Amino acid sequence: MRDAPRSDELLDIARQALQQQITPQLDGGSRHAAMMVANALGIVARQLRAGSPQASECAALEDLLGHAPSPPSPTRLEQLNRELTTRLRQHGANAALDENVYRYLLATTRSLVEESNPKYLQEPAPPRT
Amino acid sequence: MTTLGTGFTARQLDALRAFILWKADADTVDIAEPVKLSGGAIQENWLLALDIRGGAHEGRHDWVLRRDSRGGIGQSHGRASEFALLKAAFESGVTVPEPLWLDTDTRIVGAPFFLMRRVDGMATGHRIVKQQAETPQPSGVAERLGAELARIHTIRPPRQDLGFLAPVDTTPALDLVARIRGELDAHALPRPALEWGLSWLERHAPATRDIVLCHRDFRTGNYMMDGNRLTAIIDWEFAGWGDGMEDIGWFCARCWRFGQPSREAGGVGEREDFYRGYASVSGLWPDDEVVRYWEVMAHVRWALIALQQARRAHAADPESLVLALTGHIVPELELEILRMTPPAASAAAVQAHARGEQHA
Repeated sequence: MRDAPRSDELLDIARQALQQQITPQLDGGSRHAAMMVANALGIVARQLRAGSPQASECAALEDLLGHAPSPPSPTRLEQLNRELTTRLRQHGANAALDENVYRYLLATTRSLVEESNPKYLQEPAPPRT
Repeated sequence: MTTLGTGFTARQLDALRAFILWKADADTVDIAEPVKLSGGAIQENWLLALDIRGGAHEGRHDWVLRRDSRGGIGQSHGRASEFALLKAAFESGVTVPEPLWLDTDTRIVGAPFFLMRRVDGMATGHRIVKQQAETPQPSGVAERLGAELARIHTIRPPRQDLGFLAPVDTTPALDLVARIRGELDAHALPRPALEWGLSWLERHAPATRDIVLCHRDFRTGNYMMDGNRLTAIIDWEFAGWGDGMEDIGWFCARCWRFGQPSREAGGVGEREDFYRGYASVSGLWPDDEVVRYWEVMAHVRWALIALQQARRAHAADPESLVLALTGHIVPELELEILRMTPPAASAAAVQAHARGEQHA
């Protein structure tokens, strides 16, 4: 059994050290590179905390596409996404399916943004005039 | 053959001096040691401080030499087309560095090159946006950029000097949808959110009024500002014939506002101001609904480019971290696409389609 700190915690500590102790000493290109490294570490830490979306995405897609549940795997997930993609491209979809597909895409995309750039979700959406 | 610290051999500098002497019809030409400016991986920019005696260009000048980084093979067309585009833009009154002379002969400086006048300023997107946000008086840059874009759009086919640009048919939007789908198919993993956007784009494709020269990367980050003064529209490598509204959508798209989402004109001003500038030259007030269509397209196209860039990231090349991180902006681009294309709109379009109101 691994003891504390967990991988995501370790990454957070490393990122803090980078941001607070190392980055202020740098300037120009190195400072920019350090900030990019910190950004990358942040993404990985958030992905670790979120866990793999594989099982839940497989289940949601099987439900959406009308398939019986099967064991989740990277291949299965890719296959299901490909099927959804093909359906969208044929765009013969009826409005009810559209609604469900949209809800699924919005939810999965939101979770990805939570990992890649959670600040984006806080930015106010500009009003559509 | 020894290369100076400048990236040019002594012989190349001699040849360059002779080239300028001939082109400027001068008596003497002195060139100080060339200084490398920032540039891309494919091109190099060198600052040349010149002292010319005699001829129409007599005097001291700061000119920029732009050449291919690696040997000239297969790229001579690149420099020549870029020169032709700059020249066409300059002659139409677009603010670009004045292009002077092109030479596609690799014998002078080892690769095709051209000379242009130097312009002052910087193009870094987030710095320009920050600077404009902190300017107490509105600088008018959004309106000015609208006018610049409209001037680019006055360049229309047929043009013999731009004969290298691929011809386009009457439905640029649907062509683009097909091209992006093709490139997504070459990508390793399916991206259903992008496919959602593409099928929306297919159903809502607007009719194109005019085919014009599109810059195709007209956005904050690709123009230079010296303080509050616009000094150059740069990065013409994607230019081609198309629907001018594509450029307006690209410029206004939220993904190019550099953290100022409420300033809808490239993060530097109001959408109205940009439209007003565009109308002042073109006489055409952009149709907001059409522009918003092209903003969806902008996000889809930028997402595709970001996916492709991320694929080029590699552990053996630490410089590629920026590419790897670019891949991680794809989810927020996809989220924006979804926000702009809710299913109620799709359903209405499907009905319109059923009634035979589909464009193209």
